[in-house]
Amino acid sequence: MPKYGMVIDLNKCTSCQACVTACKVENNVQIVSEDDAQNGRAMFWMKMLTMEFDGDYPNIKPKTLPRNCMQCDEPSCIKVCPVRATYKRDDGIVAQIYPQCIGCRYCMANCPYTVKVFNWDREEQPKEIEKLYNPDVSVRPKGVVEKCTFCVHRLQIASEKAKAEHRELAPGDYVPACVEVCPVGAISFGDLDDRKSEVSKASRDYRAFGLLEELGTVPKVRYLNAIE
Amino acid sequence: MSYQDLHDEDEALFRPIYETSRSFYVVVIVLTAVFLFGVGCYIHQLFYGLGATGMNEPVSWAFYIVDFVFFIGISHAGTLISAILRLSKAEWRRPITRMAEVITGIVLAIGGLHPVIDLGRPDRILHLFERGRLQSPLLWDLTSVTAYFTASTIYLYVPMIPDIALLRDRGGKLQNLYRILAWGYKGTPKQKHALERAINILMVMVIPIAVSVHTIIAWIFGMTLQPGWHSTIFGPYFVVGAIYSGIAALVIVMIVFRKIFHFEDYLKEIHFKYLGTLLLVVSLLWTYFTFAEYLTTFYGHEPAEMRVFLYKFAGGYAPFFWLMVFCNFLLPVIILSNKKTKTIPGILVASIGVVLGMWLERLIIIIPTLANPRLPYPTGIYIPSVTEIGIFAAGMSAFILGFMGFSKLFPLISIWETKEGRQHSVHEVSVRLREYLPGQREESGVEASVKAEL
Amino acid sequence: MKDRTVYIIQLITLSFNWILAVSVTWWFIHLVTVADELNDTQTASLSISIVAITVFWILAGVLSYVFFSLHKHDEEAE
Repeated sequence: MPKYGMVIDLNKCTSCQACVTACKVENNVQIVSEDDAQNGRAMFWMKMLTMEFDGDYPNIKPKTLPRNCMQCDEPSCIKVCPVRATYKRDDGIVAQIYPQCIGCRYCMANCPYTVKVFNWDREEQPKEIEKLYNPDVSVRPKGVVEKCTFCVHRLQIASEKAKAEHRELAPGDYVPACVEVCPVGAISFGDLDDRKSEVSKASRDYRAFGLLEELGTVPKVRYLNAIE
Repeated sequence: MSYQDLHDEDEALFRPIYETSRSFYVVVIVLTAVFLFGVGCYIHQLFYGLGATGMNEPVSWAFYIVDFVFFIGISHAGTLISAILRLSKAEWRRPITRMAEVITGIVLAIGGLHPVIDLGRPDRILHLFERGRLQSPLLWDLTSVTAYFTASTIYLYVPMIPDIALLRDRGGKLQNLYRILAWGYKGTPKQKHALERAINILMVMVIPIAVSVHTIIAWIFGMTLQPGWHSTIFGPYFVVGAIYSGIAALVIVMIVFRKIFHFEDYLKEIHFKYLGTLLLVVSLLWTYFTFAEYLTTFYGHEPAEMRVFLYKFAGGYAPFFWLMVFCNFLLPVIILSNKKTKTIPGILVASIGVVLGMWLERLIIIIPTLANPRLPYPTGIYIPSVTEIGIFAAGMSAFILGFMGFSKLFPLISIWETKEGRQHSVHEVSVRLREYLPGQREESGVEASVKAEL
Repeated sequence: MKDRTVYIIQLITLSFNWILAVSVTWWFIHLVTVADELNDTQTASLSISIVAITVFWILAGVLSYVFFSLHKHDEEAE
């Protein structure tokens, strides 16, 4: 069984936010009204985090970091879920079961990365957006928690396709939308257990680190430090 | 002595059941209106989703959870205090225990509903039964609150049986109800013995259950990895806070009903003085816990913890924090340690301060941690919406309404315990007192000497 | 109301407590079996349920003790 992981090279990342947009479209993430967005209810599975500001205005050099779900190997969200609405798959992906979620938001309170987003209400989406809905991903109702799933629907499609073609799943068959769209190829994705894979090599690079690793969550999304 | 002879002596305690003033109805109507408004708010939220609240990201738990912890805290007034006072044979408990237990029952029902109000999908509540995970602290909480509710209702009911029998024997309204609830109690010695035995078992059982309830509520927060929550002290800290707010709420209720129903002869200044002393002790204990909690955080100086710490001490929640310190420490300690201010009005002021302060304490524990996540997100904001305030008001008025309803059905001060106190305690206490004294060895000798004196 | 009716109503109200105790027990057993099926923290589930079930049974037991002893000694007195 593979163990899917991701490595994001901050040296290559230009903070263009293509991954943020691609993720939002791919996963039918709700677009909220301007008021709600102002009140901190904007919904992103992939988010560009500003880690620190270097220099003084106007010569600011912000250090940013694209942050999706860390797909922890020891996820604190699963521990506290009262109804098994979130669970870890055998391939290490932390998945959500939207019809099971009761909306207690305990997982949100316990995620050290503040990754989970909640459907505070369900607003009517613009017509153009509704036409663009990805049919492979369910549209979440109001009152449930959601988060990045490593585009797990793509894995399902890829493995079914491989099965139909009577072959094993090849490394490049399944990649999440953010990986696919990144114009500079900053995000590598694949099987962490396969020591020859690009992602596995990158995760063992001297520049590699995990966000808040010290908490023991064992994140499967790792970063490569930017070189000054 | 049979029950029929005992009636008129404590007539004042029966009166609220049979006589209702007009202002009572006015209050009921006003409170019902407030309550219905809250219900309307909830229906709105049901249709609109939790977007009707002021919650957002990262402040994903707010008013409802604050009220939940607050109400459950108040519920510790009752059963725990009454059990401890009974267990320690404090004679002055007699007119207090019933009211304390009623507070527990009502507030627990209201508080227990708050997590359900807080759910995004209350229609899926059955998933808890179908596919619940006992590993989640929310399930521990569900279990312990249910156990506590069951235990405290039984603990309220069993000591009330003799009083219900008194009401039954009086005749008058709701005969059949009292007949059913009295369980055929006639006051025979064997019945009394059975009842006492049950009360003894219950009061010993209720204490650990009560402690567990608030410890587990603290663990909902303590079990997470979040700065400001992940603390070993949280269990006992919450229990102390719960007892603290509980005593204060009890004092307020006692003073109010003393005034309305003219219980001055039963709830005397001495009762309030003793409760005031208890409040003072718990106040100092609470202060000690708070100090210990924040000093270790400050000394450790972990960056994530310090963000939360500074947000409370000097940031957005500083006004609330310092108001809490004033209400929970300065105000009660100043009032209650000074003989001149330790009067009934003074104790009332201190108690109101403490209840307010303890609500703020829950707010300060819950929101700053959520508003300051570990990663560098912008600091969260939270402003409660009308819906949330409406539901809180509904909870408060449901509490008062419940209390008023209870006062029309059952005596608010235990009548048989008052009578028992009058008949037996003087003797019993003097025997006990002699036993404490040096030079007295055998119980029988003490008994004889007391009898000779009487 | 007849004494018999009163007694039956009393028994029904008392039985609520037993229904609660039994359903809590049943619920916990169900949760433990689900935990076992899904291989998800069986030991924790088991230990929590043992403690909780005991509490509910003792509470129901105490209440029944009060009920039956009150009624028993009630008859003796007459």
